[in-house]
Amino acid sequence: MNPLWLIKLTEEDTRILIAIFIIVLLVFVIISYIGSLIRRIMKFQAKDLDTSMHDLVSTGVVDTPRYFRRIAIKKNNRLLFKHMRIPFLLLFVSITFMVIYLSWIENYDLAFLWDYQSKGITTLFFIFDWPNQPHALFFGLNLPSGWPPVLNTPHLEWEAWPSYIFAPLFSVGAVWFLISIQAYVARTWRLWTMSKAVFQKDLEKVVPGSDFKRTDK
Amino acid sequence: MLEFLKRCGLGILYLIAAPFAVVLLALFAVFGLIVFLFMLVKSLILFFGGRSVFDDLPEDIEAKRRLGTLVDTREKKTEHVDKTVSDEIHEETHEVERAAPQEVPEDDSDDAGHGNTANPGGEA
Repeated sequence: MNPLWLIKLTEEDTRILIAIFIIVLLVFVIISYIGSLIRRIMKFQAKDLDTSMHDLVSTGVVDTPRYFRRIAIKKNNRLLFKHMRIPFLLLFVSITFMVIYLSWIENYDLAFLWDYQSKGITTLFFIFDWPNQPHALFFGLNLPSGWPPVLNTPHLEWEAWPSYIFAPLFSVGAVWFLISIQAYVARTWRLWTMSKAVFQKDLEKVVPGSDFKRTDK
Repeated sequence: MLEFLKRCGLGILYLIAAPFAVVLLALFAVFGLIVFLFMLVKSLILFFGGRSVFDDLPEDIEAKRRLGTLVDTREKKTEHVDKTVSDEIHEETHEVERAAPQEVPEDDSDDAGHGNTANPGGEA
């Protein structure tokens, strides 16, 4: 006999399974919405390439897929350079600052950035003690029943000034850098697809003899 | 319900594709950084040569030239069409005027003229 039929689920087990199933479904739905949002953003970012290539195609200067790709790659690289100047500058300044600071204090351990008591950027955030969050039984399920104890409330620390300079500059630069790279990926994808699509002719849409005017009427 | 299931399916697909997307992004990040550094050096060299990395490509200049030509051609074409049509109308009006004193009474000459002007082909 199949051993799966022999499993006896208690009512609590069934509840837990249903709750897990619903949570998993919701997670999938949220992921799909996030994915759709990213795709929409990338479509919008790819439009930059259309702007820079439109005139070249419409005037017939670029007339083959290979030539289209060559020029589009050049323009794509120029756009990348244009978009990445500021994030690169932010990253460069923040990293240089941190290297100078670390060599000044002669300690190359970056763990102090997460020290919420005195030196880290985390002094500016609420820090919760998640492992000790209170739980309670709810219809047989062990669920969180309140906020965890607060380990740190936001406060300024004089000793953390290097973290206050480095962390914002670096995080803004890094996010901006990733957005620029995402746009670069989007434009690269667009140039590859459009290099084929723009010059493609569709036999199903052609009307025989439609390109010639009759002169005998 | 079907829409909800589609969303779930899409979520599963995105979840499976996510690691590949992250790897792709990382590869592009490395490649993009190399391209950026190359462009940075190129822009510095061009800067000291009195040029910019954002200057128009020869293809852009050619496209602008052609766009200028196209605009001119369109204007000339429009002018040509207008001139031809006005010449035809003028000619037909003259024909009507020449024919008017012999066959048509003076009172009806205006109507005949309008009719021909409205239909320059004169086939009706």
